[in-house]
Amino acid sequence: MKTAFYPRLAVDSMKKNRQLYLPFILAASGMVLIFYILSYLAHSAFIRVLRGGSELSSIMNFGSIILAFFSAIFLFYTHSFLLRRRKTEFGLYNILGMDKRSLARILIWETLIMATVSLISGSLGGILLSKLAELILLRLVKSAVSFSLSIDLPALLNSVVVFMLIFALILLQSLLQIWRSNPIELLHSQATGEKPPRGNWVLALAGVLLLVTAYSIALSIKDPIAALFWFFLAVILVIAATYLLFIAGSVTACRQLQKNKRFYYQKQHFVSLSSMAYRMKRNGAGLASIAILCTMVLVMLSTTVCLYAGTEDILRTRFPRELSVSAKISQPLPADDSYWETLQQQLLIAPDQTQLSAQNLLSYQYAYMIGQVSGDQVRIAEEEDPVVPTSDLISVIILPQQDYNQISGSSLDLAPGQALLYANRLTYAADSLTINDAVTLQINQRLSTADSLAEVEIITEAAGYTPELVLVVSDYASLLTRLQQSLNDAQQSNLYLSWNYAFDLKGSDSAIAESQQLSYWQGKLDTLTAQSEGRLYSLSVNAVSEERSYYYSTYSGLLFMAALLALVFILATVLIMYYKQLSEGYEDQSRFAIMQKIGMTTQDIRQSINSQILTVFLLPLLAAGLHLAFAFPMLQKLLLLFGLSNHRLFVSVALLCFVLFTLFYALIYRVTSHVYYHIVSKNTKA
Amino acid sequence: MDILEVRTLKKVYANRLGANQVQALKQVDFKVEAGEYVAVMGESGSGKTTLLNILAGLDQPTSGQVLLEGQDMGQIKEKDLAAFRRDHLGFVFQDFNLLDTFTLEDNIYLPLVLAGKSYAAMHSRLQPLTEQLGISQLLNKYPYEVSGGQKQRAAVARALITGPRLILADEPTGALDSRATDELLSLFNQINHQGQTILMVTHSVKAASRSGRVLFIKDGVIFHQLYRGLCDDEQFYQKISDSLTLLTTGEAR
Repeated sequence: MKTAFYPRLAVDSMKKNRQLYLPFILAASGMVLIFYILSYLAHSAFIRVLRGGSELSSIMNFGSIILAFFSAIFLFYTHSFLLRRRKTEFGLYNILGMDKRSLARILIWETLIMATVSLISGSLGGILLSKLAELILLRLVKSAVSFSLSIDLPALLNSVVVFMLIFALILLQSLLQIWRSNPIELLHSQATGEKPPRGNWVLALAGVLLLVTAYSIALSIKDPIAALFWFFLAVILVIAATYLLFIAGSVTACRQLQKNKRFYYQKQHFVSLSSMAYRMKRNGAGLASIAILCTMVLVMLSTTVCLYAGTEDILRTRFPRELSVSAKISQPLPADDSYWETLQQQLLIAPDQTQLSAQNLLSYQYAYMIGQVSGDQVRIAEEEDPVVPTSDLISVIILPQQDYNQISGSSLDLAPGQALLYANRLTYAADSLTINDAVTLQINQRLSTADSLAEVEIITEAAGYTPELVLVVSDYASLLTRLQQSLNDAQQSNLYLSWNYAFDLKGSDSAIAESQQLSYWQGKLDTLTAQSEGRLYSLSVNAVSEERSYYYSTYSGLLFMAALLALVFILATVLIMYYKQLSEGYEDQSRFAIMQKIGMTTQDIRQSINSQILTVFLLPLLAAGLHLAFAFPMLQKLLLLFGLSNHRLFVSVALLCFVLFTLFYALIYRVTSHVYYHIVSKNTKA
Repeated sequence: MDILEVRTLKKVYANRLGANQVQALKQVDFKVEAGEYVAVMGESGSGKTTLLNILAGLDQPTSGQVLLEGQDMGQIKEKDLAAFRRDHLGFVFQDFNLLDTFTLEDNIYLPLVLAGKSYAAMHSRLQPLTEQLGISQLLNKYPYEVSGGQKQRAAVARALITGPRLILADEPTGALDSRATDELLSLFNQINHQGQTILMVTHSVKAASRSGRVLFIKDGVIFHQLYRGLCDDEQFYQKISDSLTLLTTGEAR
């Protein structure tokens, strides 16, 4: 009998406070559910065997780690709110003769019950929904699906352990709180007189300053990878600024408006403005959190949806042809083009020895060398040259005029000894260029952008940081011969030729289907490399069909994880909003009762509540929209890095996300503000 | 001229199923003339608060009428009632009912702001009032920063600033210490001398003894009433005290 006392007390008080506990338990269950699904997918055998499955697994793993941290912080924070509301009750128990040890026992039971309920319901839901999640993911990856429900023990164990830890932390915090307080304090903890909010100019200004700085960083970033540090700085600054502005800026603004007597002493401003100041002081942090969560949801969803929707676009820019082969060959260089023609023919022999026919051909070659520049002289670097630090090295690429014309669709007509120059990541001002004292070129034309070279992969050859000079010449063959003759032994390895051949296959042979298999091409390339006696040192092939599944599994994995995390963030937003409305409801209850006694009509009260609620509702959404708008150029550049250049797609996806999110947000607000109205109107009649 | 006339007022509270009926007011009739200072006395549960709520328009009578300056409050539409109360009645409560989000000044302005008055008009009314009430120096303070007596004086200022026909006071001294009580009662006498009609519900014999007439209410009816006549405060106190003793012990009328 006596042993059942504490559990019963715990159950009773949780039932009595179900308005507080139910949402908390629901949110915790939801987080367990999603965590289980993420770790289930990370382990799933179906996913492992997919092409790109290991990437998918690691994305899911990464997502579950983020989720674990977020859940810990979030549940911890919301539980402290629960505890605050219940301190009066604990104070009463304490005064009625229950010592702290007994209070602790109640708390332990309560936490135990919460943990058990959320873990069981969360993992049950997770097990039920995991199959659905898998189906959706496989559908996104565009892969075949199978039906069988299974329970993944490691994933289950994972979820239980992670959330047990979180609940243990929560318990520890509550015990500490109870331990440190005394009964009278507990009893009156909710009734302490509140000081009027003071506008803090310094903090408000700091907030504005930080925001402006962050926004201008976001707008001025040119290359997001090179400026990764700035990118994160901007994110952190925006978060800090949001908190400062919501907490200090809003109160300062209210105070400033109150000083304007003509504005302040108007029926529709008077009550709203003065309670807004208090409201923002108490809820600024909560609202700022909502704004940041909203921003995160919007950024994650719009970028990942955009990547997924733009996968075909990305594939087309990355791989303009179905198959592309690139061969690099070093000394001795082939004398003429017949070498390449043989290679090409050998490539196009199908498994059944028939000749495949290529169409939509793109074929080009270029000479590539590493050297150092001084004035108008370029010297080809010597192998392991000790004098030259690698940072001084540049790449020189020489492209035949006819290949350039074919690629760019232009009709360049250079005389022998003339060149078209494109200088990337360095400035080259001289009018001529001499290479290895053997070849001198007059710079006839200059390109300021590499747009016309976009289809040539030479720009990516230098791995994105080495400065490069791209030269287009008309007398490619003779120039190459002269260059080759000027090389000393140590320079040999720093000049090589690259031959690139991209094509779509034509015809309806069954051979084509098979020939698209990358392994077939790989095998063929291995044979060719062996036949070349070490001259072909790099031969690689890309098949779009192969790449497609990699791209889809990566991007759909990202999309899927973003959607799940967005779900969690939205869950968090709902919970914060709910508790905010709840606590504000209790605080405003007596205030509105007084106003009614003094002669405010119910209509006036409703109007005032509505205007305040609307402001509070709109502020985080506006902040999120503004953040998104300013992050836009930066996000666009990041997407470009992934190969997505379809800006219109991104704009429309982001707008769509924002609109959908606003609708959803409005729905949440409607539901939660009912709680508020309910509490406030309970006492206004009397 | 009668400011307030209450005719055969009856209020029955029924619980939700209607099985258990409680008669809070059986039959209440009385009049208050302009410039009068009337105290209503009675024990807890005698119906005082019900009466006050009905007079204030916060509750509806089961039957009977309340006429304020000849106008039947039962005939005023729900949506106009708040404005009517605001313009014709002033309220002083036991627990002050000041809003903690406003300074004392803003609390006093509240009914005028709700009535849509301009700041200049409000400000010109404020000054003489706060000087009389002795709170001119406290206007920028918040309710939690001042004493109970000061809060109540601000509440009185808030009740008076609309120039109401009638002040309704509900146990105004209930939460005050004896010094603050004396000050408040003197204040009430002072504004009454200036012509302000006051109706005060109270427990306190001391508070009642400062009024001009005392109504005793018991079990939902006006049981007895006493006029001050030519008595001074002490004599009137004695008379009230005697009446109360009779009221609680015997059936004498």
